[in-house]
Amino acid sequence: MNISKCAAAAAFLCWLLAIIPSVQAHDYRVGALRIDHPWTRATPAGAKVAGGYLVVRNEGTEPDRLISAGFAVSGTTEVHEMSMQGGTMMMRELPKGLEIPAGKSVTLAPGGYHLMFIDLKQRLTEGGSIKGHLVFEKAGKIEVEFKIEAMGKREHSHDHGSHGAGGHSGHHHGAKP
Amino acid sequence: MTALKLVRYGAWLSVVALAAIVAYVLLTPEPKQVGGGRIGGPFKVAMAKGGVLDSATLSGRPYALFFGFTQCPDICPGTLSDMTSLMDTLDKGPQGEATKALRMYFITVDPERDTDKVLVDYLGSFDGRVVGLVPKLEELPALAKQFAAFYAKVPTSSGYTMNHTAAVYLFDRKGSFVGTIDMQESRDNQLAKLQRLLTR
Repeated sequence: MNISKCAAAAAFLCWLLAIIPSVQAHDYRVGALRIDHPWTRATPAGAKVAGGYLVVRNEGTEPDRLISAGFAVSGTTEVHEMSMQGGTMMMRELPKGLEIPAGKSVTLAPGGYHLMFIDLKQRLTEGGSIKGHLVFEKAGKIEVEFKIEAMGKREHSHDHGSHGAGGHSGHHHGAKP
Repeated sequence: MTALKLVRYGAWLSVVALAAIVAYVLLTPEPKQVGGGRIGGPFKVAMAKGGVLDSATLSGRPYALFFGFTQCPDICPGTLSDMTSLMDTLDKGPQGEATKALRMYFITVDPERDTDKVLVDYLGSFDGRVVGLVPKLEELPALAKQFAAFYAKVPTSSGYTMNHTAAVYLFDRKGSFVGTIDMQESRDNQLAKLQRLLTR
């Protein structure tokens, strides 16, 4: 193997090592579920709550259900739904969790379904991340990391490299599947 | 035969339903009267940073007003960051001088948890022209009514959250209600509304 080939191989390896963590950080699999880019937003000083967002895709043939979540940074985490009704922001807890129908994607996003981080123990700052787990009725528990984006962000940024071909088909962006 | 009858009844039923909807839409009074005297002051509410805000002292000052609470994950911090960013853009534009007088009042609908200190800390993350108002729990119903605003406690397993009107109310320097801004509209729209407000 000559030197230039060696260098090319090394460069390729570096590139692989560089992109792999960013892909892994925002794309998780558990059972038949694929979880894409969990994110949250930076919080104002002293804020006790924050919303958690992600896309869950059920590639299986049976429905599943997001039933709970736990994060070190928050005292409790609940599954909530926000909706706008005649200019009023309505919020409700989904005590039985959120169904992820077979073959469908469910988006947790600002203005719709979200995880509610309650009793935050620290301020969330942009660029950081928070670790915790999600629990699905059938697929079970999975450790995830939520990236902290800007406070006023409405949709997650598309810079994380996990959007392969067909990666986003069937998404219901923006709120309510 | 029966199937045809069913279809016919179904059709009549939808006609009745449609008529009912049309009647409802036509007969329901418009809650927000643009430029009218129905929405807004006079009001006096305690400020989180101390003192009392009397709407009578606001003459000559355009202002925005929002009902929210700090344990709100989305619409409240979102609206406050939008307004902060919009004021920053206005500051840098031709209306920069006029923008200095603009205020945004954030009225908490959760005074039980949003103490003065909580609100001052929280709003410190946004533009300095955002002023926190903390009505007493017993003052809230009348205050909300003045603005045709809605709020309600919603129990959750860990405590409660709040439903509330999400619009930002805009008042010109004469204290007249001129309309609302909401989070759903484009930033250009929001900016245009504030620019119009400043020229009134």
